[in-house]
This record gives sequence, C-alpha cells and structure tokens, in this order.
Amino acid sequence: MLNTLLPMLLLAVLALAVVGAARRIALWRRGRPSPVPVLAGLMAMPRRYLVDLHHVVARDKVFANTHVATAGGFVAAAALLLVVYLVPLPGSVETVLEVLLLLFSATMFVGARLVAKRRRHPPARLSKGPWMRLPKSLQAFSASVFLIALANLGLLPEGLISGVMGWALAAVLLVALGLGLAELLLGMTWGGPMKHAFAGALHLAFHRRAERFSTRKSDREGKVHRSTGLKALNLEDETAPLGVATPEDFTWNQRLGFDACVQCGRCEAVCPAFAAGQPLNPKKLIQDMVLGMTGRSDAAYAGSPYPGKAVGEHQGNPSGPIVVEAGGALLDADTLWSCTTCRACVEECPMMIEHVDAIVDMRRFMTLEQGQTPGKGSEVIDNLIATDNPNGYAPAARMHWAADLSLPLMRDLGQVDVLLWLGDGAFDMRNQRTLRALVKVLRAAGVDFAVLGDEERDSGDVARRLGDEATFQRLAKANIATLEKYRFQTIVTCDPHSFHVLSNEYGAFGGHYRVRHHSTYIDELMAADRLSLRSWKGGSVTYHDPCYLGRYNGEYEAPRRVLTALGIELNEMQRSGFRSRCCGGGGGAPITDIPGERRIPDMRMQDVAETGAELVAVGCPQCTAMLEGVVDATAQVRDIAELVADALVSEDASGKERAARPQVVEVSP
Amino acid sequence: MSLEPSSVNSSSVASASTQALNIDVLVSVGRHSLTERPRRADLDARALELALRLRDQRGAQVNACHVGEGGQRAGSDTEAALRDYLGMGLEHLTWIDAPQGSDALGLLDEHLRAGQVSAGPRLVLCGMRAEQGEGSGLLPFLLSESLGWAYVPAVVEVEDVASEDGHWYTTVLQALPRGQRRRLRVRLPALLGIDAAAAQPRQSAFGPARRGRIEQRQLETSVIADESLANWPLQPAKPRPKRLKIVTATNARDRFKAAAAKAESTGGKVLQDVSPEQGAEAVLTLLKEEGVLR
Ligand code: SF4
Ligand code: SF4
Repeated sequence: MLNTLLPMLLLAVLALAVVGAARRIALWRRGRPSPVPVLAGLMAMPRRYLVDLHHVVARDKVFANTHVATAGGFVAAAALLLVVYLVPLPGSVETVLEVLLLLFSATMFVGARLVAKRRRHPPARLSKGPWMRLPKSLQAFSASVFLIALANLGLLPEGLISGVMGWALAAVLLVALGLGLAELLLGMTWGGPMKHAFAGALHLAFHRRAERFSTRKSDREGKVHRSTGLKALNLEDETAPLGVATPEDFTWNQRLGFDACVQCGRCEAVCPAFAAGQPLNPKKLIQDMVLGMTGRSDAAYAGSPYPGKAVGEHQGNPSGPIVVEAGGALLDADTLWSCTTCRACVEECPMMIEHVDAIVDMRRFMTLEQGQTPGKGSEVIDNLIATDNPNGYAPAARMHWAADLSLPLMRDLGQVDVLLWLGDGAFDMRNQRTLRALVKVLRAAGVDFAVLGDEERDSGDVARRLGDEATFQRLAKANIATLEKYRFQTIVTCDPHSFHVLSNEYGAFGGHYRVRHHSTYIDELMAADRLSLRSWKGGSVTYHDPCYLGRYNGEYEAPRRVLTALGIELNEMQRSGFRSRCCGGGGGAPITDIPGERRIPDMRMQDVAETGAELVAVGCPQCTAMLEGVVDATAQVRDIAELVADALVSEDASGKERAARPQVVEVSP
Repeated sequence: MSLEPSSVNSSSVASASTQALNIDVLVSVGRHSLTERPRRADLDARALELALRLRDQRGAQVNACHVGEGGQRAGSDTEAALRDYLGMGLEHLTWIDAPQGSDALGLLDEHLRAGQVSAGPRLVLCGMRAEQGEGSGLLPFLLSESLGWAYVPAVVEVEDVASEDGHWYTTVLQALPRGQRRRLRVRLPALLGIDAAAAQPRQSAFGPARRGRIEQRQLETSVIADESLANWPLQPAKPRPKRLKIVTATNARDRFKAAAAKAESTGGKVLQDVSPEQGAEAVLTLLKEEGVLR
C-alpha cells in the first residue's frame, strides 16, 4: 500500500509546492525592477551558500553543525525520496539509494534532535510561534523516511509489516510523512518557517549587492568583497521615485530578501538601539516588511517586539503607506529614526539581508517627499544647505582652529602627497585637539601634506543617512569638483564617516580616490620607520572600533598595530572587531534623538568599564564626542592620533623646520 | 505651538464650501545671514506655515505669490527660494513679473483685488519685513492703505475666523514684548504681518519643491519705479548695537541676577487720547533725547 500511496502523495505535494512558488515569486515581482543576471546568479548560488553564508553561520559552531546535519540531511533525503519513488529504477540501484536514504534521514534526525534541544530553552532572540513546531516536523519527516526506507529494504520485522500491524504502521508513517512534507516542502513556498530556505536560496542568487560575495577570482586575487556604500537615487529624472513609501516601492529582490529571514534574531542581539530600549528591532523590522507584502497585521509575530510597542497594533497594506503619522500602519516613524546605521545587524545576518538599505530607503521618502525628518534633523539639513556644515557655522571659520599652525593650503600648493581631509570636526573644540595631534604627527614624519581649508565642505554623510539624498549629492559633487582641481596621492582623514563616503560613495559620481584613515596612515608611517616613539607608560587601554572604519571598511588591524607599536597591550572588550558595539553617534541618531530607556554610549562605556581599562582609544570624532559625553565614566577617551602625538620623541616637532629635516626624528633617545 | 483645541473647534467657519477661507501669502526671497545663499525668508515662511495649518485644519484656500524681476527664471536665486516655499507643500505659486527697481505696491494691489471673487472671508499673510532690499516693513502698511483693509502687525496665531451679522471676523494673537500676547478681533478682509515668534515653518522637502509649479503672471498695472530704492545706498546689514548694561555688583550672585534679569523699561510715558501732532511731538523729543536725531 505504501508503494502506491507514497508516489501520489509526493506528486501532490510537489505540484502544490510549485503553485506556491509561482505565487510567491509573483508577489516579490510586484516590487520595483532591479535587473540581475539570472543565470549567473543561479550558478553562483551554491558557492555563495557554502562559502559566504556559511562563513556567517559558522560563528555559532554548535548551531552551524546542527544546521549542516539537518539541512544537508533533508536536501539529500528529499531528493532521494523523489528519485526512488517517482523514477522507475533497476532494483540494485534502488537498493543503493534506499541505503543512502537511510543514512541521510538518520543524519537529519540527529540534527532535528539538536534543533529540538535548542528549542527547549530558546534564547530571547529566537522567535517562538510556528518555529516551535519546526523541530517536531523535522523529526516526523526524518523518522518516517527512515522507517519507510527500512521497510523497503526489508529490515523491519515481519510482524510489523503484515496484517493489521502493517496497515496501522503504513497509516502512521503516511500521516507523519505527510505532516513533515507539508511543513518542509509546502511550507517553503506557501509560508511558514521553511520559507527561509526557498527565499534564501533565491535571495543569494539575485542579491542586490552581488559584490558582497566572494568569487573564485576574488579569492585568488585576495580582494575584499565588501559592499557598504548606499545606492544613489536618480535625481536627474524627475519622475524617478524618491525613496520607499509603500511595500511595493522596494525592489523585487529586496522583497525577496525580506522573505529569506529565518527569525534567528542574531541582528536583534547585536542591535544597539534595541539594547537601549529604543523602538527598533531589526528582526521585527524585516518581519514587518514581510507582512507589508501581504497586508497582514503583526499579531501573529512571535518574537521580541519593538521595545515599548505592543504587538498587534500595526497592520500592513501591500500598496499603502508604510508609515502614517497617526500610527497604526506597518511601522512608526521613530522605529526608522532609531537606527544608527551601525551595520551590526547586516554583519550578523546569515541570510545576507540588508537592513540599513531598507531603513535608509524609507527615511529617504520621509525626508525628500514628506519633509518629516524628526528632531533636529530639518535644522541640520537646512544648515547643510545654507552653510555646508551641519551646525550652521560660517564656512570661512572652518580654519580658525588652525590659525597658529600655518597649515599649507591646497589652493597655494596645487600638488602634494597627502591631502588632509579635516571633516566637520574642524568646528568642534574637542576634535580640534585630535586634528592638532594629527598635524603634529604628520609634521614629525615629514609628510608632504596640505588641507583644502575653507574650500572643504561637509562630506554629505549625515545628510545621506538622514535620507536627504539631494543635499548629499550636491555636497558630493561640489567636493568632487574641488578635489578635481588638485593633485594628490592619498586623502588622509581622522573621520571614518568622511573616509567611508569619500572612498565608497563618491565613486558613483565620478570621484575615485585613495583614502586612508589616519590610523592606517600612521601605521604605514610606522612601518616605514618615519616616526620615533617613546613607549607607553600609562595604565591599561582598550580600543573601540568605529562602525564606519570596521564594519564599513574592514579596518580592524591598523589601529591595533599602531597601539601595539606604542607599547600598549590592548585589553579587548568582549564586543570588539566586527562585533564592536556602536557608540550611538552614527546615522544621524544623535540628531533625531529618539528616546529609549538607556543611552547607547552609556552601554558602550560600560563595556569599557568591564575591561577595567583606564583609557579607551578611539579613531572617530563622533565616537569621541559620544563616549566623552558619558557621565561618571571610568575611562578617559583619547584619539589614536593624540596617543601617537604624545609619544613622539622630539617634543619640539611643531614648527615648520621640523618638517624640513625629518631625519632628526631618526635619532633615538 | 500653543493652539488650544477649543479655539479651533469654536469656529463657525469656512466649513461651508462656498465660504471657504481664502488666504494669500506674500513671499519674498530670503538670504542666509552668513553665506547670503538664497532661500525662503524666515518670516514669510512662518506666514506660509500659518496659512498651511489653516488649510490643513479648516480647508482654507492658500495662494502664495511673489513679486519680482522676471527674465531668466530657471536656476535663478529667486527660483531657488520660491522652490523652498513650494517644498512646504504648495502645488503652485504665482510669480508676478516686475521690472527691476519697480515698486511692488501697485502690482500687489491689483493682484489681490483681482483675487477678490467670492464674498468669503479673506486674509493676506506676510512676514513683517523682507530679509533684503529695503526691508523697512512698510509694504503691508501701504498695501492696507491702498486696499482699504486692516493691517495687524506681529501676529503669531490665527485663532478663529467667524461670521457675525454678515461680516467676517478673525481672532488673532499678537506678540508683545517679553512673550506677552494680546488677543485681537479684526474685521476681514485683513492683512496680517507675521512675527518671528510665530510657529516654526515646516521642513521644505525636495520632492514637492521640484514638482511645484511656478506660474508666471504679467499684470496690466503701469509699473511705478521705486524711487526710494533707487536713491538709497544699499549695504550689508549689521546687527544693531545693543546698549551695554553697566552692572556694579560685588558678588557673583548679584552679577548673575543682573545678567539674568529682564531689561526693565524705565522712564518713558504712555500717551493716550492725544492728537497726532502731540504724539509726533513726543516721538521727536524722545529721538532727540536719545541722540538719534540731532
Ligand atoms: S534579519 Fe537576518 S539576522 Fe535578523 S532574524 Fe532575520 S535572518 Fe536572522
Ligand atoms: S544598523 Fe545598527 S542600529 Fe540599525 S538596525 Fe542594524 S544593528 Fe540596529
């Protein structure tokens, strides 16, 4: 009986799954167009899965193995099942396949047991609801397949497969298999926990940022594969949309990406805004985007909510606005404005979902179409428009801090080795100390450098993260036009935000530069033996990775090498490197200032306190400001440039004469 | 903004569609004080903000108009500034051509008269003074004289528009020094000059600014040259010098109190029921005493 009913069951499930897939694909395709190479994408998918995705999953070793066993076992078992029961095969081949089936279903069963074990006391970041029944379905499927294979191989005791017992067993197996197939195969395309497998595979194939993934070529050339710059809006075409207003305004592959979410909550666990009790949870945000596609309410969502916002009060509309001022739509505006664009979520997401892109897309609409940038946002934007700096200072005052330094100007020299990009920190008294220190270091090393002076403008970073693409593009084009006038080899800046924008986001407008963060550049100077430094005598030190240097640009090592070269033994925080916790200063978050229960910089200084360090080294004006603003902090905040400048051997290294005879620096004390 | 809901609801107004409140907002080109870049003028933007709130709350009809030199429009400073107003949520805006150096008064008079079609309530809003040019703040006075309508300066809020005995009235709040407010009832049509204490203008958004239409308008009125403008030398404005308060305090507490204290007006007198001559006489005397006139 099994042998007649089973193929029918399989065929029916398969047909239904195909119908579901077609419906789901049609749903994604209701988004905006986004051309991708279909065949090349599908071909690249296995590698993207096995290399890039697994690279992220493998950070949790235990679960990675669980997943390999369960998913690998399932894919193999399901494929074998179909072959064995739907393709007429010679007996010997069939026996071999049945044995394999036995093997894979057993592997899968072990995996499923491990999944079940993890689900017994699930961490808060995992979603409950339908996800709690998944281990049961996995076990039902693998166990029934295992038993069916056993029966077919004639390995079950005769008493079990004949007579009434036989009928009963067949019925039980069919029901269990049916339930398993419903969850695992139908669920893939009709919605349910397994949807992540179907959508995830296609998401890998048709990802909007293909350059995120490694290729065999990039591996051979040792090239980085990172894609962190925001995509430019087309402002030339007046009919082109400005950002995302409704779920259908996302590109189709963004929608596909939302569907790939496994609700693992890794993003939630690292999100600084969530930890601070601000109304944002990246996992819920992605789930809300999924609900938006079908227009459902979030009542059935079974994970952590946005802090302070009850579940069940929001409802999506496939072609209606995502945010409505009165609330009750898919999202509230403060959710979008809580994000610091720190990319911690993107870095952790095993499904390669791009949260920050989605958030900025929605912010763009609110700023460019609705004029609803909250907090001080509109004031900052107005200042950027009128004065090219966010605080509305007179552009001519940009160099006042350096009145006594007689810094060489690009305007006078025209050509230098290094263009020192100051950033808006030039207006800030705290950052001016960092800049002075950096100038001292450059002079001590005899670097041929100059500054743009008041020809420099804000890089456009804040405007862009606040959604004001128009102001960003104006500033970018103006800066590119200025830079075009001069000749230089490298831009050095102590502001990771300017660094990111100059090196990753100006390219779209024709500005291609070699940009170095000052820590990288100082590292290069040290490697070339151009600085002689006293060794560190202070207490213990820890280092805070700026998001825009680390996760955005992959520079984790240079600052550490510089600090180590100073003779500092770093006392690392638990969350450092690619897992560094944001200081709370990015993405315009201090400007929009969405209230939470805690402050992000306070939590970060707590991280510092836990290491017992007396000093935290930073490499970003924004981090300096945020961390120094923490009251009752246990550690001092110093920029790497300041630490290096303090350690310079010749203290008189301030004048021009210094730069003229750098060889003096070589003399050791 | 402290608009009490009760005062909004008490309106008996403008719900009747034929009697919709009609608001003209006069807007000018502003300049940023540090960089002199063209942008919406702050006071005019506040006037438009007030009008837009009346539109959102009670369906008022809002028309904005600017009088200025025509000619090359696209990419001009004027266009940039006018787009700032459109970005606040206007679909279109009228740009009345005026040759260089001409007086806007006659043109505005004609434009506003032409717009007076229905018997409904009518308001004209503008900032108290322009950010460049003469910036004397006299235009609304002269306009109200030529139109024969009332002018209320320093308005911060329009509380109500209601009809009584076949006439329309508006209740407005007027700003007085030191945060005081005075409630006034004015018969319409009227001109309201908007004060810097009125609600902050909303953000100007890129999309609507780019989409908004600027409609050019040529008027028949023979243009009168602005003689005073032609004769006056123009120079960049500087902040008016403030009189220093001399504090002779011996301890920090007194110095702090003196610094934080509000300027008390001393001397001066209130003249009531005097003839214009007597009033003018008193003003002249004061100006001489202060050394403004010699
Ligand atoms: S968005 Fe990514 S990291 Fe977050 S829950 Fe979904 S799959 Fe996990
Ligand atoms: S970018 Fe950072 S703040 Fe924004 S959602 Fe992701 S983790 Fe949270």
